[in-house]
Amino acid sequence: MSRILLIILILLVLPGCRDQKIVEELGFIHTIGYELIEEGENSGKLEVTISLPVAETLKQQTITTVVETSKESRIFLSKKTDKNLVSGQVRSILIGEKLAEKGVWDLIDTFYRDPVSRPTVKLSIVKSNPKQLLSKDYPEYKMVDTVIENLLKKEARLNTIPEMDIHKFAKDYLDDAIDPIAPIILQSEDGIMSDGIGLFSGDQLKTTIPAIQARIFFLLTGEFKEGDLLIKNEEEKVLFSFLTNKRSIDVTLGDKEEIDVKLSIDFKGFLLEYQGNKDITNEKEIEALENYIQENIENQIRDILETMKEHQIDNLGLGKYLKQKMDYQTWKNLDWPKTIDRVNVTPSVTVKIIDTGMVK
Amino acid sequence: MYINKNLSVHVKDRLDYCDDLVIRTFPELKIEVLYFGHLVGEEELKNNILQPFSNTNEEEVKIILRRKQYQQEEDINLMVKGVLEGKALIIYQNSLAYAVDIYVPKTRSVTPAEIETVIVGSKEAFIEDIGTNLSMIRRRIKSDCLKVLSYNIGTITQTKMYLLYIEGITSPILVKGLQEKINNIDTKGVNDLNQIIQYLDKKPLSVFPQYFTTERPDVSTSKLLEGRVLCLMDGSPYSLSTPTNFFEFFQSPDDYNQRWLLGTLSRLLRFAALFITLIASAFYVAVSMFHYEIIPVQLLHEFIQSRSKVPFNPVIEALIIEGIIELLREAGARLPSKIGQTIGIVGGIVIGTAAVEAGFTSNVLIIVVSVSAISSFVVPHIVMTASLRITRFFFIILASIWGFFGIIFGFVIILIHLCRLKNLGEYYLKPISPLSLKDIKDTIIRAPYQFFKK
Repeated sequence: MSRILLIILILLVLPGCRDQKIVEELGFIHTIGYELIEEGENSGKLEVTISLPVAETLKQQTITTVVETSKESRIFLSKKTDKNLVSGQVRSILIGEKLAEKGVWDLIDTFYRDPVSRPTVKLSIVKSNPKQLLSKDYPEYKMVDTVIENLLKKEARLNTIPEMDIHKFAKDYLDDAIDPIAPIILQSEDGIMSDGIGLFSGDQLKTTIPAIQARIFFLLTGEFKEGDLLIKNEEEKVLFSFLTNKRSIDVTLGDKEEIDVKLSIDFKGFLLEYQGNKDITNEKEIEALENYIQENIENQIRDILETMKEHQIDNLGLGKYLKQKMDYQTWKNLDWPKTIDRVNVTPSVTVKIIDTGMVK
Repeated sequence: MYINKNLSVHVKDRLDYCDDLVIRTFPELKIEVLYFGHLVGEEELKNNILQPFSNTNEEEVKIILRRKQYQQEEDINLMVKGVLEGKALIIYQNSLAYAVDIYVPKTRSVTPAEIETVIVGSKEAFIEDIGTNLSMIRRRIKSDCLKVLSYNIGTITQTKMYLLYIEGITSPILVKGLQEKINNIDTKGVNDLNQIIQYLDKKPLSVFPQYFTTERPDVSTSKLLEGRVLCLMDGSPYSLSTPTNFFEFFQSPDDYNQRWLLGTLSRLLRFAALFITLIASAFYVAVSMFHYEIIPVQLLHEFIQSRSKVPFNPVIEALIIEGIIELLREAGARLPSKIGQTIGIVGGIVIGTAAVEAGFTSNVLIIVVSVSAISSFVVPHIVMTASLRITRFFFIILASIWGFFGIIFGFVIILIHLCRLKNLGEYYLKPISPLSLKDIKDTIIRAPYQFFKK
């Protein structure tokens, strides 16, 4: 009998510990945007914008506040809505370009530590102001935040921007052999569009790679396994669809302080479209076309490496391969990625066209 | 086996513990007649046995026995077999045996099973007359190993009850255990076998049924063959079998009559239904009160929109709708079947649609509760369905206190309870707990018959 009484007592007392969140009383932050204010009386403060769906109207509500640190933003934002703000449904974080140049780790750390927010929250850099991006009225979209989420997902699948969530960002940030990257989106006249990759040094945005080069970047990271590649100059335009991609990175440590890296990419595919004056029914001409594609890609790779060396960053993760070849002390002394210009990278691309298809 | 001396003793020995065996003696003629009362026709019995032997004397008997319907039997196995097949065995002078076929089984008014219906298989169901029920089983098991013990239950009603088991398969401990329990029943009277069960229950406070009842003779027969003890009661169209385990309630004759793959899949479906019916509503309550994080974002908007009109807390909402479903179910069970359809229309269309439109409940909950109600009907045994109905409310309350943690907590409590349940010394969760991999092929799955061979 006393056992039953004890159970009843526990049952009566424990509900006090409950952390009830009734679903219709909650405001689910879907997208959260941060930007640094540089002018006016609030200079140096953070501008925090959130968007949340309003169930009754099925529309999106956007709230903005200006705060000193990101941690206190919840209190100020909460004043402006009738709902309890919760971060368990946050899908994407938008960071303004200006803030990204100062450093973003503080913001990401907040989400990374929160057990409620998922590690797959997407991170992206906004070229214009996140507040404007979120609060502008787009007649064609019902909810901008879901459009952004889907855009990022789709473009990442097409390999024009990286799929960057806070877990991956944090992993790359804390790893000393690689620097993180993030997709860039901007507000254009037609709506929202993605615009290449932002390259970070630590948690600071350094430079960007345009969307057209982004696929070459993913060829190098090995994430781009199959898809279409457009190569063109004044005379010729080639749309090349490839099926297999083999990438290997060989590191050779020289006698003194020389480091040679051989980046070989080997892929096979077929022509989707060709505009130019080569006769692609001829085998020799095809070979020439293959060489042309190889050269073109190699040049683009050199461009990317040049950009990285210029900013002393390593977003490709070459450091990981170097680290495997040396002992820990040497690696520590190397002070990667500041020494990236000591590395000689030789790109070597092999292209094999296996089918010219139905092209004339 | 040819025995000339003491034939009567030998035959009776083979048919020992068969309380349904009728033995008539004509001492002045030195004749004994053996037959099963429920397998023979009364008219035939009168014409072939009673009339010829009651108006005769010792000299004429020999002449009567030369008539062609009396076939002389010399093999004792054939004699026993004959009795089991509905013949009357006439033993003359304790050394000669004659069989006469008077087989007219009691098939009158046998109806198809109404609750435990099957798609493929026998449509036969027990009826209220115990003799008919016993003859259904005797017709299916033509063996002298099938023993029948007779009891009378109720100090005033003196209701007839048979305890059946197969000698050599059923453990004698089980028979003795059940005999003892039946003897200990102290009541003025019972009306149905399902009441007896409650007298036999070891843990009357448990929500789970501890004895398996069925209205199907084919199921009863297979229980006997599995080594269980079976009970029949006069006036009750059910049989009781024991020891019972949890998984029996999820088996249907369809699993065995159809191909094994289909049997396995439909059995897995039933276990899925078990979980759905137990936790669907509780899951809804937990998600809408605690774990908003797991709602897919596409569903989230519609969900909040429909929830935002509802004036009640999710747990009150779920209890109201579950309560309405219980009302519908109870009304459907009490009403004559012709009016019963109206209930479906009122319940399904009027309450379902109108409640959502009036903002009385959210449409997600209507779906959840309906799915859980449908799932509860997938469980083939109505007794288990009823238990699950009660348990579901337990889960809803727990989910409203602790969310997912509460649901897991409830599962653990129920699992502990099930593991502790015992039935005549056999565990309720056998063969899962204690684990016996050998026997698992006919619990959650139904393996091909070739695998059942030892």
